[in-house]
Amino acid sequence: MPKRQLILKGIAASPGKAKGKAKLFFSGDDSSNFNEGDILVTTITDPTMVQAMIRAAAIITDIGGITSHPAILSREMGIPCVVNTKEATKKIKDNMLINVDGLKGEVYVLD
Amino acid sequence: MSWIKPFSKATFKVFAGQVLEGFQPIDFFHFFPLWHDLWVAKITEIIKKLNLGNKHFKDIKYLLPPPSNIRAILLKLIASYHASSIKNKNEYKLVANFFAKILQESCTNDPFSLTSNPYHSKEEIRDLVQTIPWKEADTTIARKIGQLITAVGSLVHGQYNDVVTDLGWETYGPYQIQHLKQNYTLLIRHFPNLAPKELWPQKYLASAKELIIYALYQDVKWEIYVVGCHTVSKKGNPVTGMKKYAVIADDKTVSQEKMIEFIKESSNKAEAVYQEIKGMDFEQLKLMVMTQECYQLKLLFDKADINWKPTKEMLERIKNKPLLKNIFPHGKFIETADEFMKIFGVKKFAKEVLQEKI
Repeated sequence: MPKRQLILKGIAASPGKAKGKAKLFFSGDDSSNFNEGDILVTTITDPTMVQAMIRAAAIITDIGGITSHPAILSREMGIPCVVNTKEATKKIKDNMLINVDGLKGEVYVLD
Repeated sequence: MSWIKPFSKATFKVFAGQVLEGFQPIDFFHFFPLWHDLWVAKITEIIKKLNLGNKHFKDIKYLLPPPSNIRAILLKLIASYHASSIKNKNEYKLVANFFAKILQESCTNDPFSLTSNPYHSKEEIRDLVQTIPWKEADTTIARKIGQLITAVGSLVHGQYNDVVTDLGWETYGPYQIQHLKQNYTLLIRHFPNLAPKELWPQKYLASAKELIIYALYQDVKWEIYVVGCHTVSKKGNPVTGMKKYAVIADDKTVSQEKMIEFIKESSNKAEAVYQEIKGMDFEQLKLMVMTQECYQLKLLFDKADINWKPTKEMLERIKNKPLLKNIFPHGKFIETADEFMKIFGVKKFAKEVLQEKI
């Protein structure tokens, strides 16, 4: 059983749990590099990211509140979302295996 | 009846836990005060010309933007008054009171959307539910509808920007209803104009102008905060809780296959229009945002036979001008309603414009 370590806490914006590879994705990035089931990690989402958002298993952001763009759309899509972590884009690296708990607002890195 | 205190209590929720940097693609609250006084003056002219102050919402609803859009306009006006050096108080008072009255008449039970957006009467909802071509929902369909809302909502975000989104994206409800002897919660998601040809070329317009998504839920507690796109599921799961749905585009029922096509089309166009926006220079961005802001009241302006587009004077106010600075704090999380009222000038507006103390 992989060990997990809590690395981030934020606002629990959309409930649910997801495990997957983290993908740092920013405004204007090419969504063809974002795979189904990846976990989208960004400062804040915007419409240039919509195709990645639709494929994401979960969304984690540095800023935003309960009524922010990623929070609203995550709830509509039924995927977990944690916003306002302050430093998701600093602490999480590409391809890290992570676990997102959207009910508690917690992000874990898995060994 | 005073509206500003209940308005503030509700509107604070837009900003709770947010920073201003979250609003894109421009620092709106440092932009609008450069010229909003002129737009308020034009709206005053319309209100007087059409005698709108003496008309009930029911008589003019076809000329008005959705209620959530009106709430957003009201907030922007209050903040603009606070930051502007020009204080045309009487005009701000007339316009703000008009919009508040419209909200009180159209969404009587929750005019400022503290927790809901109850635009329809019980009778309207009862009649509507009976005519909707309901289909059974499952988790796959519910997720697809979530993706549809994401794709179309993102297109609207691009077409209208972060603070005019509500002109293109409204959610009505939640309504507690009975259908075929079962209890449900109804949400109506309405995208009234996905083809604003006055703002964008054809390549950024959706193939359907109007999209409506009806959804019946069980065991999900929904709330709506201030504006319709701010739906919050307080309890339950919106995906497993969706029991029936109908998707209507330009008065035609949308099949599952067509829904998938629409998701793809909308998400492609959303990305494309926002890439164009990100490529704009500062002058282009200012002009775009000003035009979008004015577009909100196009129907009213058309009715009054007055050009809705920015006037020469408005354009002069922003051309080659920097934004204002240091009036609204950046990087600061707004934690309380009192903080919100102070920062956005709500107390000042109440005192100076409405002559009320809150």
